[in-house]
Amino acid sequence: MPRLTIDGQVIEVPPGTKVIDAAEALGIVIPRLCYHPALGPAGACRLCAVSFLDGPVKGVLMSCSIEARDGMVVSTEHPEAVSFRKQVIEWLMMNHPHDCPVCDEGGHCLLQEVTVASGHCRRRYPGPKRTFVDQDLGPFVQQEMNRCIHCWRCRRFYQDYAGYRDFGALGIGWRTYFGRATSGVLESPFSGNLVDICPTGALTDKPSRFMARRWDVERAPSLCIHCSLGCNVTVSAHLREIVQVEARYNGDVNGHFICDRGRYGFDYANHPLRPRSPAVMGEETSWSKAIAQAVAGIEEVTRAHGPKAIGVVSSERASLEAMVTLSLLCEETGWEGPAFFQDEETLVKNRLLAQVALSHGIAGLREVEKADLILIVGTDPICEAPLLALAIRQAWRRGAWVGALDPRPIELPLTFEQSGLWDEELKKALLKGAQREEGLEEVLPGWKEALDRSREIVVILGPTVVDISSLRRCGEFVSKLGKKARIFPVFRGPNSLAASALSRESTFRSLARKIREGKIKALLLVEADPFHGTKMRGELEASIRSLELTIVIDYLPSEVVKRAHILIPSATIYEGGGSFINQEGRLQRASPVHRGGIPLRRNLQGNLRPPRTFAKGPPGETAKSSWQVLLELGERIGKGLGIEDKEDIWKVARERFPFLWQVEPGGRISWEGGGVQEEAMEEEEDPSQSSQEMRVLLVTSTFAGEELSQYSSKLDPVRNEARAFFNEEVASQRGLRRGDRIWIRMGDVRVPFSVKTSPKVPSKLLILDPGNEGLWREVREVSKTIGWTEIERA
Amino acid sequence: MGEKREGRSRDEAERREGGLHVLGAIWGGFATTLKHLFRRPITQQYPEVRRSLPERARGRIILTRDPKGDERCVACELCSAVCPVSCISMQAAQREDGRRYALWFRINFARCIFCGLCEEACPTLAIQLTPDFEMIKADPLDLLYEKEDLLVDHCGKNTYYDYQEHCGTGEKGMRPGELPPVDPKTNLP
Ligand code: SF4
Ligand code: SF4
Ligand code: SF4
Ligand code: SF4
Ligand code: FES
Repeated sequence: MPRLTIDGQVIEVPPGTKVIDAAEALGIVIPRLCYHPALGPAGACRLCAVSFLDGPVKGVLMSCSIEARDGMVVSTEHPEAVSFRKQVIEWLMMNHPHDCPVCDEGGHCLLQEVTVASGHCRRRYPGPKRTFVDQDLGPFVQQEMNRCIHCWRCRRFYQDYAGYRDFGALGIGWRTYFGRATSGVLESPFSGNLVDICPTGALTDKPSRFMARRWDVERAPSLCIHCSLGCNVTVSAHLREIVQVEARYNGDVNGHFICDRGRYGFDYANHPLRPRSPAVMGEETSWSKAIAQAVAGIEEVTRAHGPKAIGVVSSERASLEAMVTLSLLCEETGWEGPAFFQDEETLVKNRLLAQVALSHGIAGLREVEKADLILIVGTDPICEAPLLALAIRQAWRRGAWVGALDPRPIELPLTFEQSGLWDEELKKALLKGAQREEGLEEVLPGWKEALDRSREIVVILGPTVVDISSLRRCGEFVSKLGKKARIFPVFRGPNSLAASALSRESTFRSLARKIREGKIKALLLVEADPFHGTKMRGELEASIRSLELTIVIDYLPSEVVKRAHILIPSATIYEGGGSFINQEGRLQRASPVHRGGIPLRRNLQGNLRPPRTFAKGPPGETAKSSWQVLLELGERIGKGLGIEDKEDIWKVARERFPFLWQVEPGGRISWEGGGVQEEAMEEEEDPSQSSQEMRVLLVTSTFAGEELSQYSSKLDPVRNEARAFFNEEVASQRGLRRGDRIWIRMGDVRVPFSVKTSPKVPSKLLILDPGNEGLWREVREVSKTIGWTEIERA
Repeated sequence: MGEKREGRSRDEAERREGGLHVLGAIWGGFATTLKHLFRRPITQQYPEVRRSLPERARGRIILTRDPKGDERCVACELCSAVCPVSCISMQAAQREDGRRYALWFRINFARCIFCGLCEEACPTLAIQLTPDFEMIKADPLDLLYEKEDLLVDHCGKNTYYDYQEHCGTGEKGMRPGELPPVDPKTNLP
């Protein structure tokens, strides 16, 4: 452990620590532009110069590139170092356009900060400035190359850290240009991080361009709820509108980065059709009237049919507070539910996955980064949990072996083995793999060798494409691999783990069955849209239509909101905050960012100016979280829970659901899975065994298919069209080629798809990604199999 | 003791002298008044007579135009940031030609204290205070000035500065003091 002296203070740091970090541990922040903890030193900006007065090296040197060694005596304030840094700044600013007033970075610009700090205020060099022509880098990143100071952070992130090649450095010397070969949309789904990482205004956020200055926004630490990883973010709101989401550092979860879905998926909160005021039968009304109507309705149904005639549905995106309140309310009233999952299969799969993962040692993103063997089973990281792909890449960069068992043609920014095994074959392979037979080696060359030399194994497991028995098999497989193996579960929603822990037997499908049987007459839907991703639209619509009362509490302009008898708007995570348990069981809390209301931008009048009226509060303020609405409802029907605020919920929950709440926010829960009945599901037999038809697998993609982000207009430009993945051989036998347009008939609707082929797709499988939806929304039922007669060329 | 006596005698002397002073001051005052009685009055009959104030007097705020006649303001929000009473608000936006401008710009003169800090902060010399101080309104809402009320069709105090010439949206490498754009695809010197 080297001991060194920095500005008169002695510190001992782990070997390999850079002097700049050692100083930071002492609270001395050495100015820097090119150094970034996740990217390491580049020595490009020369701004971190300090004086080494004594020890193994001497003189003015770059603290970001020099490792702390024993006996070093460092001065950050030595006149020589100070004047060196001052000159570096002056020299960096020589070609800078000095256009802070029109620069979006102004106000939170690292370059601006260090320039002001150094006292440089006048350009002494009279010569001309270097210029660059800018490129259009797509919808997310705005380039202004004149402001670039050549720190290389962008390239180091984009190519080295994230592994995409279409953006990088061109040219040499002072003419180095950071961009693409030609203008075009950045290919990486992590491109938004360039905005965070660029220390100047050379790369800024395009969707929030010119929206607000940093000092004018309301900012708060929040969470990303667009997948189950629960990345930490900082959210900015301005004039009642969410304008920007940035990555917030959390070393235990996402590190420094987030994905573009998380960064640009926020716009559902500003959606023009977002429910803002309560409505009864589609007519806007006051809060008190809507609540009174809801209470009257509930009481009437209860009187006529008993409390079991009221079904309660929520979803994996509801906050823990809402879930707990709802569970308690159902217990208190005897209502049916709450159902958090679509159907029995999903519920069992989620529970099983949680159980298997928690009992084998659950892995988070950090464990993935440290692993040296990663096996992906039934997960498409980029689509289901984007940042996971970055974590896998970091492990791969350190030499990890990566293999994937998934029928989808997975794309990852690294080299890996993939096999399209699934179902029976997958089960067999897992069985053999665990017994160290050749089973997995056959399909994943290199598996055996990697297994032999591995120390830390992470198996990434998702419940979407793998069936129940494969999930169970995977658990056995992992336990055979021994202690060193952990499971990284990938769930569908941000709070799936809590949902599976709090779920009883009810699922949406079971409630729908009871609706058809006439046992359920009223439905209370709390932040749930059963229409999202459903395969049974027709059936669903009929069930909902037959209800006597539908009460919806939600913030999305969802399909079920349009069908609600009573609609009560609720607050998003940005207005209400909330707690969520991520995929590794980590309890995290989001703070409210702003009070909400209709964005001023939507309220501009006449000559494009804000209204000239006095008002007591902002219009359309819906700052009530769903749990608050639920408490009010409970109170009014005489089933008060004795809960006043969030603290109370947490107190009650700690007693009632100790497995979820015995940790402080930031810690991991330890739930043992709560028991999954073995007989919960009889497995369906494989219908394609006997016929010429292909089995259908419905999947989602990074920017299309996730519930919240599908309402975000910021992501519209990058959403993919509907795609159908065929086995390459099968497709060519039928004369289909990649890129062909086809129609697939589903019931009485013909849905257009673009053909994708891959040798990895099993021949009896048709993988459908509805993409941007559109006609897909008309499909009343997605059949389990599709024959060639239903496919025609467009 | 001696001191005390001495002190007392000084007091008495002062009192006597003071009495003289007071008399003198009163006479002096009357004399001045008398003198002014025969002078021409300097009071101006406002509002019938309006003095022209110095150019730098701080009154009603305007948004000026650059010498080319275009809006100077780039909606950088520096004036609103520096404003001690937070009476300036705006929304920046991008014009079709790429230029940053204020979609709306509002000053609440009911709150403004005419300190002139906004003018000092403005990098484009857009926002300027004028000597006009006559802003009496019956309704505070009428003191809410919108962009169209603020924007004038002249350059104000400075008739030559054009921010856009230096940092604007003009073609890269064509503005004064700039080298032609770098061609990143060549490694030739
Ligand atoms: S990059 Fe920073 S220093 Fe440069 S114009 Fe933008 S805010 Fe100013
Ligand atoms: S574009 Fe930004 S991140 Fe990239 S080198 Fe220039 S200043 Fe650094
Ligand atoms: S990986 Fe998931 S949690 Fe993280 S930013 Fe992306 S969508 Fe959000
Ligand atoms: S400081 Fe000047 S340029 Fe900036 S917003 Fe105010 S008036 Fe406009
Ligand atoms: S931070 Fe050390 S050289 Fe840039």
